[in-house]
Amino acid sequence: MKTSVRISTGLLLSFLSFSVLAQIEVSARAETEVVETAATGEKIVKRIDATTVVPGAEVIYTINARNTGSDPAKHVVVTNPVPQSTVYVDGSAAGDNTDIMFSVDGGKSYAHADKLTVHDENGKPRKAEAADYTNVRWTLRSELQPSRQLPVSYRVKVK
Amino acid sequence: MHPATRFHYNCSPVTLPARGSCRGLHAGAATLSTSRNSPLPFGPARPAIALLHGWLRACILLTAALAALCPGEPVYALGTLAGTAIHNVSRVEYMIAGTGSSAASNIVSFLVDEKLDVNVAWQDAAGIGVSTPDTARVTTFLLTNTGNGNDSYRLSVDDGAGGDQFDPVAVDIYLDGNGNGVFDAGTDPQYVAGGNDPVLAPEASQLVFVCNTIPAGLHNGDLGNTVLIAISNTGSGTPGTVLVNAGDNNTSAVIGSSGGSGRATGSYLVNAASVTLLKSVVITDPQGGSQPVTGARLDYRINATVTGTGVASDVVITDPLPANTTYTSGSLSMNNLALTDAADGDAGDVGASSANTVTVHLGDLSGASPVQTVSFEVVIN
Repeated sequence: MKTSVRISTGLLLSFLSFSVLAQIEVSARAETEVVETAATGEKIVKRIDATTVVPGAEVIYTINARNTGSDPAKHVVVTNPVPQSTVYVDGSAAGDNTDIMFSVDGGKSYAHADKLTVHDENGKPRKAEAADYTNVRWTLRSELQPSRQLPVSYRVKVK
Repeated sequence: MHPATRFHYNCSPVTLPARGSCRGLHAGAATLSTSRNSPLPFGPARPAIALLHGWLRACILLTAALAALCPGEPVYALGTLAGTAIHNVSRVEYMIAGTGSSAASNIVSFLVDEKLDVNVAWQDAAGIGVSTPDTARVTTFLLTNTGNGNDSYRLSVDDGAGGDQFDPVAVDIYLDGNGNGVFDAGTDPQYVAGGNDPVLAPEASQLVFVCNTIPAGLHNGDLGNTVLIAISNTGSGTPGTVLVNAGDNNTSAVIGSSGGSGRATGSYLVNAASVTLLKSVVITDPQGGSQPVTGARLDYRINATVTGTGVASDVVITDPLPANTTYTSGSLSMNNLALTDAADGDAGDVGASSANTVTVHLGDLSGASPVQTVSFEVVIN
């Protein structure tokens, strides 16, 4: 770090803090599935990047958190809101070695799918359905080691 | 379209020649007309559901620029509006060396395609009651854009579909221009294919009036179907077909389950209220016999009977006096009640409405009406 001798303490601190922030990078992509028929007659499901999607179709979101630093990261939690105009597809959230929870209150609180309740229009509590989910959360059960990745995914249906 | 037979704005009451017959010495004539109105339901309510989404937390954490991605677009019952951009941002939170940090992903976005769907529904509760023949009778359809984008529709009428006893003859299509739910002759614009194809936003509806003429010679209870067809101008055909860049906001248009076209069958039901006139005469000669000699009295009696369904409106009996006879003043009666000979407040006259003719207005009659009797007397000169 040759330039560090010429920068102020404050800048150095912010640079250090930035390097901490950059330890884990997260990327997301949205894809749809298309079925193609091979020359053999075999049906092949291909994923293509979602640019335009017809209402009623499913979109697969894949989120990938990568530890780009040199230290292991603890308590790695990936969160993703269910986007506006879409509905979470029941049972679609996946992620190896993660504890998956959902929110029905915009991400204020999370619980496992079978523990979530919402109130109907009469104020009576009922079991939450996939359509009620507002956010999805994956908590990695172990540390994310340097240069390792945490890929998670879920599906939504466009209303 | 049949320009040669186009009927202008005369889509309510109609008159037609009588089916009645008059037995006896002289011909009689009756006029009957029927008119019908059908109540029209209005288009469906337009529910607009705005959902507050779980963006809240992400928006607080993200920058002001990202906050612009917060929800606000309405979600319609029939699907997200074509051209809507759907954004998504993921976050990760973690701890390194005892310090908590977080990071946001790139923004992933896609646009919602336009789905082409349309529905046509017949609005009249039952077959429109018509006479035979009948002119330019209106039946009503509701055209609804059940897709998620703006679209326009080409309309046409098919009267040749089967399952009925007769084919109405399509005259014109009109659009409910003032949106009041009923056909207004002279006000509601005539539909011209390609000229004023209805343009509808998602979930919007347009009432369409189809005018048909009813052929002559049909029987009471005959059914005639008329089919209104609406075809999306953006695209129609096999559901699932993708039309690149044809949708709103340069999205693709995808033909929906309706195939981009809709049709509904309306029907007409012949209400042939037929009036039968039975005329009889009793001759009384001066000698007390029944010979038609000079001075003999002729007591005429005309019985009017209505059969079939529907109403024969304003039935009028006209009967010219026989030649070489003289009407006996004050002898006219209707249902055994005397009528004056003058054209005045009562239902009949002799020679006033029409020279040398008995004219009696029987009013509106149906199959439930009792037999109507008109009688008068003449003397042979």
